[in-house]
Amino acid sequence: MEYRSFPTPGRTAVVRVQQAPSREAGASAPPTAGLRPDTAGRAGMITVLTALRPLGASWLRVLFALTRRLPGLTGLGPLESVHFIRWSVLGSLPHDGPPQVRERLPHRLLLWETVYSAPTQPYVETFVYGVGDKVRNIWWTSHGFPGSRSVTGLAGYIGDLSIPGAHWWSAHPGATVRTILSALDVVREHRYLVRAARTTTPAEFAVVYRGFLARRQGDL
Amino acid sequence: MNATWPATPLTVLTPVVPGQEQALRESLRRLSETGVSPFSRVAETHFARWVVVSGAPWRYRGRPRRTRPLRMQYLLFTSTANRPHEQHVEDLRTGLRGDADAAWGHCVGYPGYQESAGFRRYLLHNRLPIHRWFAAYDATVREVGDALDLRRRHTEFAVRTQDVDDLGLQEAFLAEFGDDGT
Repeated sequence: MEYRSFPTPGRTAVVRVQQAPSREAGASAPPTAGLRPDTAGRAGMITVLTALRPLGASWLRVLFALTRRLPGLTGLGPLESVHFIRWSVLGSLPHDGPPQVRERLPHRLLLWETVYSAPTQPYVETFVYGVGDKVRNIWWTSHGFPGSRSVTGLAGYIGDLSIPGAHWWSAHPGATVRTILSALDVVREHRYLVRAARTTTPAEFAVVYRGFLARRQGDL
Repeated sequence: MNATWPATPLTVLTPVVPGQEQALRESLRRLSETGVSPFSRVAETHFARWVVVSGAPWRYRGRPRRTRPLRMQYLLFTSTANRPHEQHVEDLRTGLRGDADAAWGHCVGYPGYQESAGFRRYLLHNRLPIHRWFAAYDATVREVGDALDLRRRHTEFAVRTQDVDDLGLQEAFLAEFGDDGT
């Protein structure tokens, strides 16, 4: 049996450090080199605004309404690398009076923000190889979308459009999504284990506990 | 997990007062340099972020061909918290205090954190709709922290008790976890 350990998350502020890639690094750059998310420990954060094609907003409203009722259509559940994702279709911006000038958007916009935990390249690869059709269903509505068949193309698109954060924070900088989901699963079984430890014989408890280990060894 | 409220996203977009764009960026940079984010004082917040939006950030390699940039710069705030919006906004006010003013104080119409009703009205007025939302979990920040801690303890316990007999296992388990209150 192999046990892995992960650090317990602390609470840290994140100071953004930008590093320009060296020429040497550029020569053998991975396909996602152009995509530099803001990172807080193991979490990456990306914010993107895209311009929607005509009818794109209508399509997205229908699609989002549908996936609210049938979340499986979103296709994100099995990825286990996404903490949170939000999509907003914007036709106008809030107005607060002078000195704000009234903004008339030239296009409807799609605001997309993701908080995920994974190295960036595998994360983008899952969008290409894992849920490429779901990604296309959403993003074809945006001008310039290169399709979801190429990791380099998709990473370049997201990287070019991503808006860098000015300040950000994560309450779980040391934990991945998988770690968190595993820990929550352990909690569910833990209650039962404690009850069993108090009410069963040592032999019975050993059976229960070893069953727990067999089921949860991947989560520990 | 019995989350009191599901993980809920909040997105707020506020216009930056013309001429104060650089001061805003400086303020946000200083917040990052303190080493402890003011968001650490905001209850039940998983993630939070300020982003300055300007120009035509949606333009990609000349597409769309005909577009025009934003006329102003905007401060985009996003967060995820196990709170209804109204409660989360109040948490932001009482948690961020002066740091809220350091950021939103450069925005048009911001009343300051000391004006409770005005602060709430301002952020809720500038909320953006969220049409689709995905959350991997609904557990609160505390539940996540406690779960990660429990998982670590179980891992250490499993390693420690690999060679003990049944009676020793049960006694060790109760010694380790018997007082957990579950």
